[in-house]
Amino acid sequence: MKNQNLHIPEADDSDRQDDISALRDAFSLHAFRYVDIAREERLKEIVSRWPLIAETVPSQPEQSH
Amino acid sequence: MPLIALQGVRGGVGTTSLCAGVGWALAALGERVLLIDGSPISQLGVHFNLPAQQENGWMKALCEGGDWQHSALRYPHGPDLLPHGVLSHQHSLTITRQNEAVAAPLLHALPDLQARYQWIIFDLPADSLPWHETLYPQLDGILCVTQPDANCHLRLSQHRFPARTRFVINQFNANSRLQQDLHQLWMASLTQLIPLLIHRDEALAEALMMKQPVGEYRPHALASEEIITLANWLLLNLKGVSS
Repeated sequence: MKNQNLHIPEADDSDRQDDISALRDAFSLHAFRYVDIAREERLKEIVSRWPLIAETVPSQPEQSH
Repeated sequence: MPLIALQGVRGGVGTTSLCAGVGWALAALGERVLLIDGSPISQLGVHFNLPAQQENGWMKALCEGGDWQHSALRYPHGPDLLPHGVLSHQHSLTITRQNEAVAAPLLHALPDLQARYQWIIFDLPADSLPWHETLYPQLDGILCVTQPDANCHLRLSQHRFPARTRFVINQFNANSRLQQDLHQLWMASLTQLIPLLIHRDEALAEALMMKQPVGEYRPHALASEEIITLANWLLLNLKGVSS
């Protein structure tokens, strides 16, 4: 199913983690890639808990911004 | 001045009540607001104490060859209002099947109305009508009202939404694991989701029965305060988007 509105949850960390982004900018840590493992785990649990969600969330990476 | 529309991703997500609440909230924040009921169900006016059997409105006037201006109403300390009007069966067929030009006199007047009002807000039904196609390009933003459930999730993943659509979650039930999960998933994956919530609140459900916008009926209810927050978000993010 081609999905116009939902994009891959893991793909947009930079937008959501403002505190982390501010720290990274403040200390010029541009090579640093922050991964919120707990959040990613939570999203994986959600996708595996509900079959309909598993079916509708894109599984292949794609450019969404 | 912003011209926006609220439209449900489906019927029953509380779009009309939210529209009345946002119009009231913006007026309470000192804005000049015009609410336009774009739904043939014509319920928006009931939130502003119009009679349940009130038949007159801008669309009914246009269908009968009259002037839409004569249906305009002013609510004390609140927004101005253009009710839709209850249509005859024949006129309902006209707006659903054939004639997108039927709304043209009002749509042509929108630039002039934008000079008089700081906000013009359409309440649109979930199922698009032909005249909406003429309206969409004029809008500065569309607030697509959604509720965290399977039906809405399916629609969000299937439909293509017009440009400048932003999504807002209404009737959120914090006790539901499904709703919590969908909220988290949408926060992480739904582009253009407005980062605030309107909780499921009995005050919002009662407001229509009391014929008032929720902010007037229960100013300190959770939903009323969250709608004020939404109105402030609109002021910060959409005011100034149009000239």
